Amino acid sequence: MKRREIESRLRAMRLVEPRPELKDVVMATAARSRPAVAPPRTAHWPGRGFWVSWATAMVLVVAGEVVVTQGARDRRLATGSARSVSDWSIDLQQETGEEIPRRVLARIERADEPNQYGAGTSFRDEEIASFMR
Amino acid sequence: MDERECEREVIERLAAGDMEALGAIYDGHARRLFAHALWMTRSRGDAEDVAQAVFAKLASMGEQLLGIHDLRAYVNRMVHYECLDLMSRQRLRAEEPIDSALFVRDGADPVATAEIAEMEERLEGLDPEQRETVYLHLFEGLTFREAGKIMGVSIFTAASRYRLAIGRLRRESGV
Repeated sequence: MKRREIESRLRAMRLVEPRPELKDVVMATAARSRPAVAPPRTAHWPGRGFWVSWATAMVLVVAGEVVVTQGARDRRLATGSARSVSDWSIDLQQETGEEIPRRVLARIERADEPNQYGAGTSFRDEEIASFMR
Repeated sequence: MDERECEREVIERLAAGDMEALGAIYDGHARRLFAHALWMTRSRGDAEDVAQAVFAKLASMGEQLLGIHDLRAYVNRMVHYECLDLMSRQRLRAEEPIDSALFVRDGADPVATAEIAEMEERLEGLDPEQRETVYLHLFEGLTFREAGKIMGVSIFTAASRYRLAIGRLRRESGV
C-alpha cells in the first residue's frame, strides 16, 4: 500500500517536455547527418541562422547576431532572444566561470557589427571552423 | 494498417532516405525519449543533446534501420548508452547539471510546487540507474524484463533497482 502511494504520487506529476523548437534543431542536424556514418558537428537551423557545436561549445547565429555559449548548460539561454556578444560573454562567464577563448570572441565580435550579416545568415563550415582556430 | 505495420513503413521510408519519416518518428517518440534522458542526466540541456544525437544517428543508419524490430525499445537503448557516454564525459570534467527539473510546476498551487520540489530532491539522491528504472517502469509502463533489456541488465537487477529506489523514496517521504 505504501509503495503504491509513492507510485501514485509520482504518476500524478506531469513530466517536463522538450521545447517545441528542439524538433527543428533535431531535423536540421539529422538532415546533415545523411549519409555520414557519424553525426557531423554542425547543423543548419532554417530561418534562424546557424548552430554549430565543437567539443563542449557552440556558436549560434540568431537574427543576424552571433552568440557564443559553452555547451548544453547554456543552450536554454542561447535559444532565447538574440543578445549582443559582449552582454552574452559577461553572462556566460559569470554563470559558468569559464572564459570564451579570446580568438573566438574577437572573430565573433566582428560578426556582431551591424549589417555585416543579415538575419538568418548561414555561415559556411569553413567560416565556422575559422572562428574556432 | 496496425501500429507495427505503420512503424515498419516509417522505418523503411527513413532507410530509403525520406526525412519526413524521421519527423514522424520524432513526433511519436521524442517526448518519452527526452524524458528518459532527462531522468538519467537531470539536465534539460543534456537531455536535448542526447535527443539530438539519437535522431542524428537514426538518420545516418540507412539500411541498418531495417534490422530494427522494436523501434521503441531500440531508441530507449540508444538513449541509455548516449546518456552513459555523456555522464562519463561529465564526470571527467566534474560538471554539475543546472536545470534539473523533472516535473512541470503549477505556479498557482504552491503546495503542489513544494511537493514536486521535495520529490525531485529525493529523486536526485538516487543513482542514475535507479532513477532510470523508476522512469521506465512507472512512466513508460515497461515490465522489469523490458526495462532490463534496455539497460543491459537482468530482470532481477532491474526489479532490485526499482525496489531499492522506491524504498528510499518511501523512507525519505515518511510514507
